[in-house]
Amino acid sequence: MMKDLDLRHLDDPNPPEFGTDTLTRVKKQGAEHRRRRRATGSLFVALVAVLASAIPLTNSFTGPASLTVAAQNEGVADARYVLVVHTSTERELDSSESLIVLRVDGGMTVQVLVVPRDLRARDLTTGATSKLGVIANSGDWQALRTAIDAELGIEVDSVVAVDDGTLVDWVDAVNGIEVALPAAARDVVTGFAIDRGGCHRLDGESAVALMYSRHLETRGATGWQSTKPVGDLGRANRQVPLLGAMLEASVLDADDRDGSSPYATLLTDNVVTVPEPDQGHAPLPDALAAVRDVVGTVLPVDEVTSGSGEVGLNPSSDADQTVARFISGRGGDQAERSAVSPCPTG
Amino acid sequence: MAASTDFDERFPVLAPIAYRVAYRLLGQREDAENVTQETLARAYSHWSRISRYDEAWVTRVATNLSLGHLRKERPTRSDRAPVADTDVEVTTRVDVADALKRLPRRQRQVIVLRFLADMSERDTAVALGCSAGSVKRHVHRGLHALRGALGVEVPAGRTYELPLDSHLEERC
Repeated sequence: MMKDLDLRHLDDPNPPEFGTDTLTRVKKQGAEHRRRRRATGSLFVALVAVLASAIPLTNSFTGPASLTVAAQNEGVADARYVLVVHTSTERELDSSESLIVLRVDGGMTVQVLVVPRDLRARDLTTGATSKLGVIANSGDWQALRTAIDAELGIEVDSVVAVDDGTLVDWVDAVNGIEVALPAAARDVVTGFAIDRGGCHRLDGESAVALMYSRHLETRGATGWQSTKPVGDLGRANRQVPLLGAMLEASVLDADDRDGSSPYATLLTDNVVTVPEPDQGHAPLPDALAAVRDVVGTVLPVDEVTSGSGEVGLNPSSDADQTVARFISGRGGDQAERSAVSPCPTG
Repeated sequence: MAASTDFDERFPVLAPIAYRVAYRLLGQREDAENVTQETLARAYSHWSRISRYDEAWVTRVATNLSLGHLRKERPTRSDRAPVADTDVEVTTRVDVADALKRLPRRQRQVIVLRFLADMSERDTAVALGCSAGSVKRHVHRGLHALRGALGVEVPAGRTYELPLDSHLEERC
């Protein structure tokens, strides 16, 4: 027989009475909670860093075999990997706008790896080399999982597909996210526009417009200038702090709701793959609900041009180390974390 | 207002529950009273939404607040003498708190309701919207996880069959 856990010996032998005075104080305090909740909403802030550093241009990616060994050596069998595919149904006609892998191990920190959607991978169902975004757009989630496993050595457990409308609703549900920008910024394609630098609370539409921005411009002394790197890579760089802000806003909101993280709900409600048999992982909602912190990084890539002139991305020479750190739960260093920070007060 | 009246009626039931949970974890009357007041204030501010499962909600929030309090206060707690606690009791409180923090959320909820709030399996199942079987499974897993920390005896090799719709059950 299982022996139950009896904790009665820890009780207060003379517990206090809770009378009318306490009730009055409680109701006053509760009314203040209600007022504050309406007034402030979520408080977490993200600093969107516009990264100008060039990506190394050599390519000696050693492939998934070394990554698998690294993962085994780290003893990380408990981790599960959730691929979040953010799709746009409005701006670019059913286009996958981002591919983000979450490493969830039931702990308080979730690791994030942003995979540029222009990363070239072999589509094992057709044998052709395709961009991951193209495979994602086909809606063949199994092919996408297989391609990511083959290319990066990450065995995705669940795929979550979230369209931009859902993201907009979600950001609005947590009362927006706060973002610090170095200057006025815009993207004429997605419609993102902020007229001055500093901290801004973005509603759902604006947050998604920034998250999907491929050609963000900032206003300098000589007028509007493109931020570097442009395109998919620039967007991927911005998605780490943005996702961090979203998760943090969700955590605060979850605390306010006493446990039910809307982001965890968003993810678990939009799982599009058939659940795998339980392999000893914590249930996904439980694992996500435990998250209180996020660290992230972008897969390092090199730009390549195919014989037909198509531009794509290959994993760069240090991609294998980045993925190995991610798999072992050590992805995201201090420099990357500093990209997500509160706005200065005052 | 009806919601307010309901809260007033339930207050004498809910406050002792919150206090018992907090005291079992904190072992300090003043801290437990503060957690109780904060828990009930939150309950009041969310009352229309949580009144249907108020006991489970209050238990969970009191637990979370107590664990949060321990996280913040632990470095200075040695300065304060626990009230009438033996060494064993102090150790047990610390072990329970540490062990709870490591449990997955659903297991923690079930363990807290069953053993901190002393709710029956059936009441725990009702409070969480689970089947009794699901509660048993989470209790088993939770106690198994706590075994090392608390010396809870769990039969070796015992397993539970997952139901066919396991991915739905797991939400519970």
